[in-house]
Amino acid sequence: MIKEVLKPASLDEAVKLKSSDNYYLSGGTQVNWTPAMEIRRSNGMPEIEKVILLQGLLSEDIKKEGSALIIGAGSTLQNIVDSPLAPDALKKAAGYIASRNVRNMATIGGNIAANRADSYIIPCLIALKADVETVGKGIMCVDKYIREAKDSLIINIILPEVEGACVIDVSVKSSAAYPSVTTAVRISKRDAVVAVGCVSDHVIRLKDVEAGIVNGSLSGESLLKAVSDSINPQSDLAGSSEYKKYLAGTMIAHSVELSRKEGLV
Amino acid sequence: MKLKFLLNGTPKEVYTEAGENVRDLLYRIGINSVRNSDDGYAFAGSDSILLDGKVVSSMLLIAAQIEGREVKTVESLSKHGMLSPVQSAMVDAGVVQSAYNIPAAALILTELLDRVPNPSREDVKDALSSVFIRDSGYEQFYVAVDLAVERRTDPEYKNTVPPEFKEDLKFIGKVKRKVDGAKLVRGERLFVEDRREEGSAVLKMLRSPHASAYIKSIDTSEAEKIPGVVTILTHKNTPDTWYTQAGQGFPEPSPYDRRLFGEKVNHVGDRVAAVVADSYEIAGLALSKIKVEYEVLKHIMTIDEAMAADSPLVHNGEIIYEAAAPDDLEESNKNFDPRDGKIIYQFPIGGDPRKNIAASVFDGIGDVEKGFAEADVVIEREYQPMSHIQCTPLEMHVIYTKMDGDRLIMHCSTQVPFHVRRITASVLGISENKIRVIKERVGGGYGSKQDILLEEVCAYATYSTGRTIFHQYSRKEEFESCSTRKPMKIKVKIGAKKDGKLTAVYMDLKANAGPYGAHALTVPMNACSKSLPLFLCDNFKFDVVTYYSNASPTGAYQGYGAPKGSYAMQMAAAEMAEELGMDPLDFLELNRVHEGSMLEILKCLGEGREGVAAPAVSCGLGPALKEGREMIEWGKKEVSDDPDVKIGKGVVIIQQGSGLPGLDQSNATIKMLGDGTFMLFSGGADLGTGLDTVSVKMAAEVLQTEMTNVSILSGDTDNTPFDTGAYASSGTYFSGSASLLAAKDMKEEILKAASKIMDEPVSDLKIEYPGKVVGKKDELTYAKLAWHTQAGEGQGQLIGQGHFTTDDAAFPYGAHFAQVAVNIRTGAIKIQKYYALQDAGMPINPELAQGQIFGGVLKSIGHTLYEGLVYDEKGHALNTDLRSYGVPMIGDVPEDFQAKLVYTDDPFGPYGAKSISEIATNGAAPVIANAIHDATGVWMRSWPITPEKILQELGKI
Repeated sequence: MIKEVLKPASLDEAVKLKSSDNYYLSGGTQVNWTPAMEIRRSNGMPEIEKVILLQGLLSEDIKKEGSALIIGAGSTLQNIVDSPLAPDALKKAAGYIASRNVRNMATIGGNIAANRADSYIIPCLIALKADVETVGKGIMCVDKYIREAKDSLIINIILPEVEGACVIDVSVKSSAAYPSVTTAVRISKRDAVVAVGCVSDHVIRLKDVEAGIVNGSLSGESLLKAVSDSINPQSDLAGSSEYKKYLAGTMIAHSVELSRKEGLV
Repeated sequence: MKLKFLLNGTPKEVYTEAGENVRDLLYRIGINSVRNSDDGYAFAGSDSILLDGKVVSSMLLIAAQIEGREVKTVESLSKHGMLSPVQSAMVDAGVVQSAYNIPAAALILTELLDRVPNPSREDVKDALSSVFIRDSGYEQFYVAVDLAVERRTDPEYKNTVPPEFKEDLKFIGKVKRKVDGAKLVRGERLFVEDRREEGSAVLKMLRSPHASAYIKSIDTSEAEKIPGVVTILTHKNTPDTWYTQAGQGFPEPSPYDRRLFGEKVNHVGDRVAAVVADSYEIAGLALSKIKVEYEVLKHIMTIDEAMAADSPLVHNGEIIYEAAAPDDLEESNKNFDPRDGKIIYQFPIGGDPRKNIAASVFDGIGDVEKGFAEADVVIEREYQPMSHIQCTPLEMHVIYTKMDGDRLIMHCSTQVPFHVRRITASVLGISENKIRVIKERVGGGYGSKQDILLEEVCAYATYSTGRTIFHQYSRKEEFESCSTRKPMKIKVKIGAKKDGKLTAVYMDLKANAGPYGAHALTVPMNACSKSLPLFLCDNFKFDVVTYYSNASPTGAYQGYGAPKGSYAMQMAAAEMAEELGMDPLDFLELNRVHEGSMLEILKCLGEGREGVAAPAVSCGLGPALKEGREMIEWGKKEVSDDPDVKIGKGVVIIQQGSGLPGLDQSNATIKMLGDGTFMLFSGGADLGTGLDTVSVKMAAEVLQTEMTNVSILSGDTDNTPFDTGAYASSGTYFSGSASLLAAKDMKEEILKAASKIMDEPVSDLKIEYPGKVVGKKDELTYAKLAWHTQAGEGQGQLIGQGHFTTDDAAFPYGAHFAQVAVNIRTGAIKIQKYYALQDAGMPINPELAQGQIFGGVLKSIGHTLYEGLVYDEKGHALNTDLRSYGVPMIGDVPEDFQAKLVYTDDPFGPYGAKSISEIATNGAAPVIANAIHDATGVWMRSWPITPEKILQELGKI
């Protein structure tokens, strides 16, 4: 149980208060969420007893700055769904979170920082080539953040203008179930980005597959196979390893096909 | 800290810890509408509040997060006891059933209508995406929203969606407000947890980490030293009394194979010890100090493992028979282990614990071998609805016990208050007059509250300590230690002539009882008795064997075995139709039961007693199939624009019973009050299904008075007469009939008393609306009659009594049609259309009847496609929360979902009523599987039917 709540007056103060025994608390859907606590217990981690409350400190705005879109880290996922400025793919990804209650509470910054392998948001942000602006560690791409800097405090998400077509997909047994696989593919005339969730301990980017898509060596069945061969998911309640490998392959191949067939690229 | 926030428009200052959970905080300060259904998983939505105008989950918030902010709960909606427009619309639409989280839904829909004045179906779906509704299946929420919108301009706008029946009746068959609807939607203090008083102790259970083990030693001494620990119960200090937890009529057809605490634990989550303490924190600390040494045994989880020749025995205790002991009993008891305790059979039910068999029965009619020999085509298929399906009531199992002098008072959320009293009395070794059971409002039962799962432990703790004690399962305990559906393996062999006429049916059914034998005989038998009699055939045979295992406990669940029997039999029928090259609907029409058919097979399907053949006196299958055929455009092949998507259609027929004729009994009394109104006392247990409303309608109709002039008290063992309880689809047929008989008795009393006062013969008197006796010379209002009879010289208060038993059966029937779209690339399944056409005789509460059909169907869609416990190799269930377990939500509701009531006039039911709810769970599995076959050509013969299994069958993986 949380025993101490620190209430900084500024982001700088929040960062100064940060230590190994406390945690940032924004929306609450991760820190206060029972499954997250149970995972900590099962991993032998100590209970969260001290939090730094970020309420009122993080921007909730979604605004255009030049060609970029700036999303305040305190913006809730429902704000993104409702925003006329957010890219369709990101709105769709936020909407995959089935519960409106959760969308009303969860912040985009918190979602990235939680770095869940089954995040709907992170694959999409990677595909969209989004950067995060942090306090103290500057600006970096989302992919790098989740691998190297996930303890630093995000204040903004910076989305460049969407180049080409971005198609996201998710496979779930039921509307509110944990996903079996999440994918995001963005293809332009210049490049391709492919990100997959639920197949590793965090969302991964398949750079070899991207190269094959760009140079035209991979499509249809060969693309499906290349994706399947490049991942090694664990079997769990959401499906067997074999199933997830096949799903990721077919979802990405289908997304690529959709992008091309509909003339999006 | 001193927390300041705005609560329902009023500034609040509360002393709290900054980290206190907001739901707990609100409940602590008297906001009882905000409830816990998922222990902080943010799934069920019972804890929803508005925070600064947005719907959020209060269990995901700590107190510091609401500092200076505005919180609204459902208490903000209704002023001075009046319902808000949204709340009124919800009651009128029929969505208020067990209603544990209905206040949260009311708050959410209010927010929706403030945000989107004229919401679309998608808007409603999105708004309710956070709310798990298990009872009414979501569909009528759309109606509720439409009502609320229309009433802005027309306050008198009525719900015209449900059909009404019989113009000559005022209340029966009419859409009338559920009698407890208003207080439920307001979020009043109606549930067991709301009875909890300051200073009461709590009980927490130490549960087994092993699937099978002996307790070699247990040391509670350190735990007992902790201040605030009241008592610790183990097998060492509790009665060595053996009983069944099944809430069935005595003598039960279930083995008495458990005691409060055993020396042997038989499943992960089995009871080891109970700590009673002044607080949860103290209880938790005490649990951690109990030292247990186990001798871990090899465990078995499946039917195949239980059947194996070298299988470990789940029960190797002494076998005892109270009657008709078998000749080889002494031999069976040669090597029993006293640590395993006892297994007591009240009478033989085919049990052989030395082979892990809890119960068995083998019987049939005609000669199946002759029938198969006469057949042109014989097929044999095996179906495996093996998954452990959990009831998942929104209100987790709960009990509150206290002493009143030398009497034990039990506030229960139960379907069987009188069985709770009897079994508790037996366990405690006291007489029934020393116990009062009060059934509170029940926040979902579905069969799991037919069993006595925690009540007797708390009762013993209170009786032995004198302390008032509260105990509630966690959601994890619900999954591990409650009762699930019995997994089954069902082999069906059927023979038919070339023209499709059935010649023989053989069902070989094996069931997994788990560690204890509650309902071990009757659930699997019901799989046969509710699936075989749908077909007319001279030759039936069934073999039923139920095995013990160390998987999760099983018991009753809505449908009571019938969904699995129905799945197997209806699938086999469809597969036979394919073999014959027949249309499956034509095959069903050719072989199905008709009105007047004699169901001979029932004479060997009694529930622990000799069965009797019974006629299908009323049967609405014909019109149901005819209407369904037209609705779904049977025979028309649908084609998707997406080449990956294949579309198919399916049809099944289903049946259930209405209570247990010859076994069940219901009683009711009704008293005329001083002003001519009435108080009805029903033994029936309303689970939210509307049984109290049924009873009130019976009385109001017979006595020709407004429903508001009849109040009801039900399910209180001190104040209401005996009733076997709410199970086996008995509510309307049995408890409703008792209320009807009580009202008729009251009518006779009224006429007799009025005859004397009015000086006219009874034959000249009649009762007329509104509440008066009319003679040839004069008339007398009930108010004046009450004054006369209850005055100093009056004859005494008028009291009517009703007692209902019967040997007559009233079978509800139904036809379910589905259209599914299967993505053959991903295996994803979408239910595009689901039409449930059900013959419930005369539906007493049409809107609630439809809601129960929607709810039953959606539940069974969940069972078919998503749900099921998954275990690791040590027997631990891995998915003990609602989300990973996989219950369906509003996003899983079929795109076009309709429940049609097919009217039949049954001569036995009260006003022609038959049961409605359980039958609705029997259709989804076979109809979806049949539609998948029509779409893809593959037969899905096991549950759940997942995308992964579809891909496997299609050869994609």
